[in-house]
Amino acid sequence: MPSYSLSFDVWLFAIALGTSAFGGMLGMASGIFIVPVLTIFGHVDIRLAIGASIVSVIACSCAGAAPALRARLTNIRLAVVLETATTLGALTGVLLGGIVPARILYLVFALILAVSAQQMLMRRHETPRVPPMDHDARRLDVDGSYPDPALGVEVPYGVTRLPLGMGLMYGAGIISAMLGIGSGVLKIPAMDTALRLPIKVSTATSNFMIGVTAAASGGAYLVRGDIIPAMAGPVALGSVFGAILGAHILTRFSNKALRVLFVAVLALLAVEMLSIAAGVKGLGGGG
Amino acid sequence: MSASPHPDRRLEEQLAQLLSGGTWMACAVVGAGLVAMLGFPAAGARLGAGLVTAGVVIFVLLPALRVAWMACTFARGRDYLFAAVAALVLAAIAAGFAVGVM
Repeated sequence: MPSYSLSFDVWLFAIALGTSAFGGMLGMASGIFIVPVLTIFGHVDIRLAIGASIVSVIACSCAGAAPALRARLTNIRLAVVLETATTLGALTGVLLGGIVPARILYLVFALILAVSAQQMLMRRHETPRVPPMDHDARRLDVDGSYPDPALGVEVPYGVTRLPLGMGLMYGAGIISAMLGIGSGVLKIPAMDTALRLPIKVSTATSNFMIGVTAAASGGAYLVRGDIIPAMAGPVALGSVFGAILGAHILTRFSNKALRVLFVAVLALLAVEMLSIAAGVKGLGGGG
Repeated sequence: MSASPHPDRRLEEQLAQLLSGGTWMACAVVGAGLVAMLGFPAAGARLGAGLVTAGVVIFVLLPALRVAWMACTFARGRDYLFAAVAALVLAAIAAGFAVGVM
């Protein structure tokens, strides 16, 4: 096992704590920050950074699942159906990630960062609901309902265009495995627009699925030796504590200022990753 | 509809307990390992590294355990279609480990 110094472990923990708290303040997973920070600032090999990141993605998904399950926002039946597509995508992503050159990984990462920045600028809006039991998802019994505390009633919802949703989930699985991210950036639009789920339900269900999707690639990376526990451990621990911290300080800051800062950071990291992909800057690694 | 408790409610609570319990256990094991590694560099290095590895493995296996629990619960409730769907997801996760060996 490579020897990691005390200061490097402390740095990993601190970085994960900081980025996760930052992401948590906007209810966003930190997975998207970990790989760029580890490669750009830590000069870690991108495949090892992806391995460390995938463990923290699993950790944050599992940590965040319980409150959403207890609030009855997670559609567990729909999740397990969609997970057949995300895990298959993850397997494809592991195979693809193994053969494409590191520069391509940097390029795809830059693209996803740019998409995330763009998504952060646009607000999510509720799509018109369809009545339950009124469409093709009926046979699978994945329709659901969730309690709305503001209205004080149980809101039923139907699931539409399941095949399209499955296709998009397969793509999200590929990206998740290739880049070591949760890929909520792709899962949530798929659920909002293709499946037409209420926002709270798609957020909770997406987070619930992220852990399983990441476990399919995480298993492969663990066996392959791309997950170095001395690196993944502190990152996972920092991410979980950071997410909790972020949720607590959520209310203290102006949401708008935070969004702008967020978009700026995402754009900056996208440019950095792009410049590495283009060969303007050297590849990380050797550490 | 909301008058009678849905059969999935119990499962949701069990999954919440499994996932939060598993997360805290993995965090505690990783944390203990790091303390051993960093606090006692000479004596605790081996034990610490082992604990950190164990914690990381718990994290990776936790979602698989969640899917396995769902498959069993669906099967017990004679919901064979969903038991099969969950088993398929579990098979895909297992395939991930196999792909890593290749």
